[in-house]
Formats: sequence, C-alpha cells, structure tokens
Amino acid sequence: MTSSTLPAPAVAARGVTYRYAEADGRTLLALDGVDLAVGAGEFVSVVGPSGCGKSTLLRLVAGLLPSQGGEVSVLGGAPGEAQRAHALGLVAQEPGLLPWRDVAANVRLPLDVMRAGDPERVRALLDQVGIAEFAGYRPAALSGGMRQRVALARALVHRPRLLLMDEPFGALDELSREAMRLELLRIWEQERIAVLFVTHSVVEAVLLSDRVVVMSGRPGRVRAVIDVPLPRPRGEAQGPSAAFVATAAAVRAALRSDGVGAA
Amino acid sequence: MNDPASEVGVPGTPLTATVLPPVVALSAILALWEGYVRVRDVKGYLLPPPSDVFRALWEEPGRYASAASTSLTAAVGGLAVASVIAFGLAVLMAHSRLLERAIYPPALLVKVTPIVALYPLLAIWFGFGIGPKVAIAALITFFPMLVNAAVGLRSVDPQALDALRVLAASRWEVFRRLRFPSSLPYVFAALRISVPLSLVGAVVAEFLSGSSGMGQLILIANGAFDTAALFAAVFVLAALGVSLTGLVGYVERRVLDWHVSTGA
Repeated sequence: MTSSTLPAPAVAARGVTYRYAEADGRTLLALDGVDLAVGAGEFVSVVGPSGCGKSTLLRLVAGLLPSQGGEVSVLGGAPGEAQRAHALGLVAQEPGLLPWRDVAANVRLPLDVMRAGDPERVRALLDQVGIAEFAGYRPAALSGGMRQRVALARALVHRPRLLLMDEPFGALDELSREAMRLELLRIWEQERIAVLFVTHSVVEAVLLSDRVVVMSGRPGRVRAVIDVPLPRPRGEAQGPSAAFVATAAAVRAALRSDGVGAA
Repeated sequence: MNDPASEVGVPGTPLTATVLPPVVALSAILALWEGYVRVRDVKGYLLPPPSDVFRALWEEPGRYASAASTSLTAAVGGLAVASVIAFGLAVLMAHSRLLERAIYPPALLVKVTPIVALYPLLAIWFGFGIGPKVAIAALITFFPMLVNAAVGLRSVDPQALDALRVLAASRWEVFRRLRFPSSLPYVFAALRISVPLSLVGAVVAEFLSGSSGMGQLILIANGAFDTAALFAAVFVLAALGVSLTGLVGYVERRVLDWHVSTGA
C-alpha cells in the first residue's frame, strides 16, 4: 500500500522518557529524552553503567513496559503490534526456561503459543546453536552457557524480525561468554535480523555491533553513538585489530566523559 | 510384606536403606511394648499388648474395613471439594489483586474459626449422613490449598513470563504453559498438609455425629472399655494416613519429576 519500498526500521525511538514510581511516592527518572534507531537487519548495542536505564529502554521497545513519554516505534508500529505480529524475540540475562520441558520443547514454546508446528525449524535451530545432542534433556541437566543457548534458540525459532537481548551473557563465566559471542555472530550472519543488544561490556558491544549507543546514568541519556567500522563477517581474529582497539577506545572515552560537560 | 527385599526387582535402588530403618524401629517399639505389658502385667483396659490389638483387627476385619472406607470416603470427598474450590479461587486471586484482597479475609475467617463449632449448623444443612463429614473435611483443608495455590500461581519465573509476553501470549496461554505447571509443587505441598487434616476432619465429625465410620468405632470401643479395639482403630487410621500421604508422594514424584523437591 505504501509508496516506500524500504523496510520499516526495526526501532525508531525519539525523546523517550520513563519514570519509575518509588515506594515513598517519589519518582525516579530512568530515561530522559533518549533517541534510538535500529535499521532493518542492523546490530545495535547499548552500553552504559549499571542503572543507566538501558534495560528500561529495551523493555519499552519490547512492549513489556507501557510507554510514558516520547515515541517508540517498532517495525513501523507500536511495540504491542510487533508482539502480536510475533516479530520479537527476547533473551534476558537469565534464560527463563520451563524446567518441566526438555530442550526441544523449550525451543518450541513460541511455536506452541502461536499454534504453529515447525519441527524442521526447531531441529535446525538446535543444530545452529549447538545443542542438538541435548534435545531431550531438561534444563536442570545443562550448564549455564547451554541454557542460554536454548534461550537464544527459543528467541529465534519463530523467525522474529527484531531480536532483543538484555545482557544475555552477563551471568556466564568468561569462557562461555567468549564462545557465545562468536556463536551469536555466526547465527546473526545467517539470520540477518535486527538486534538490539544491551550490555555493559565495551568489548562485547564493539565485537558484535554495527553501531554502539553509549548511555550515561541517572537519568539515562544518550551520550554518543559510535559507528563500528569493522568488516563482516567477524570472528575471533577481530580482537587485536587496530580498528577494533580504536573503536573500543572511543566507546570507553564516551563512557568516561560521564558527568563532565553534561549540557 | 515384611520382607521388602523380596519385592525389589530394581537393582541399585537402596530400598533397604529407606524401608528397613523405619520397619526395624517400628518392630522394636512393638516388641518393647509387648514385653513391657507382659513383664509388668499391665491391665488390658489400660494398655493392651500389641498382640491383642492385632487380634482385634484379625477377628473382625470387615468391621474395620467398612468403617475405614466410610471415613476415607468422607475425608477424600472433602479434600477433593475443598481443593477444586480453593484452586479455582486461587486462580482468580492470582489474576487480580482486587479479588485477592476480597477473597483472602473471608478465607482467613474460615481458617481461624474452630470448624468443630460449625458441626451443629452443618448437620442442620446437610443431614446426618456423609454430608456434614465431607463439609468439615473440606473446611479444614480449604485454607492450605487456597494459600499454597495462590502463591504457586504467582511464583512464575519472570524471565519465562517475559518470553511469553513478547509473543503477546493470552492469559490462558500464560496460565496453561507457565502458571499452572509452576503452581504444582505448591499444590502438592498443600495436599501433603491436607491429607492428614482431612482424616482428622472426617473422624471428628464422626465423633460428633456418632453415626458411622472410624469415629463411631472408637466411640463404641471406648464405651465398652475395649482398649484393644480402640488401639486397633487408631492403627487403622494411622495406616490410612500413611497410605494416603504415600499415594500423594507417589503421584508427586511422577508429575513433578522436573522439580528439585523430588530429588531426581
């Protein structure tokens, strides 16, 4: 119907403000006039100190928090519409698996909710995230890293157009985290969907993203948006490259300037 | 029955470790009891030896069996009625804080009221048959199920809930995929509390009505100074309680094989 042939951007947020009500009746300003753009198929990270509102921003985009101020458009509509279109996938810090379902059934959950059976897709994703041999295991039998792989497969199984990841590797040990980053890069190369990735790891943000949004804390504001000029596909070799180091330094500088010259 | 090892076909199951100690302890208690009564020549109406108790059971098995079945029916019936109603109310409470605030105080009132005091009223309403017994058993078991189920239905993994919410899952979908299974460990905990309570309710109601069941049997034995029969009735009630609790435990281990409490 529309004249435009460009796909709608995955996320277009302007002037987003969010206040939490405190127990004593006061309010806490978590986000103050935040802009965020994630293009179709683009990988964007949000980094910032703890409590800078980056998770709040992600939950607003996910439609898990009601919009208060500003404009949040997801895939060209309201977050609720994106939910109903089954266009969103979510991976949080904790996997949130159903302990009574085995791995395959956990991955299948979104399809069950949508009443869409697609055993082929489930099998392919189990393969893709490297947990096919554990398909019949319950989550309790898996390590933290394995569980997070299941959560990732579950978030992708219904072919969402926007993957939302809220510090997905934050609870993992360093080795699992390294492995998961590379795994995510590989999967993203195949799926090519938009990703909004919240993290407090500068290395992680630079390694994975097309752009890094740097936020300052309390109230959360966007301090800088830094392009990552690294070629794709990326992998283990990215670590020591000069461009990588320079970009990471730029992100760190933006983070450090916190509190200085806030206009 | 006395030789659990012969029943065991599964290798590696430490049945000797789980069944043997209580069997040995119980046998020791009965033997000490028997020996004490015989050596000190205790009067039978004060404390009959276990052999007399078992003889009382042996001589009239039908009488105990029929009384036990009457009491059991009332207890299980009351438990079932209470569980269904309490779980239904818990579902409402889990979905609305307003309903929770409305339902909880009257439910608490039921809990703190001495249920026995309601018996005359219940007899007027439900007659002198099984009705008031079921009602007492139900009233006694209602509150544990309500509170446990309400807590269980709310105790969902927030990350799992988010995963469903970003799919715009309906309340019904969230209920059947997440809330209901999450509540089951709490429901079974309530059942383990409620099973003995339901027997208490049924027997107390039978004391008050004196019409039938284990409660009536105990009243009759008491009136006749037949202490052996009295003990026999108590043994039967204990066996009922153990069997029912065991049954709940068995079903729980089957249904909740994913849950840590079952130690799988």
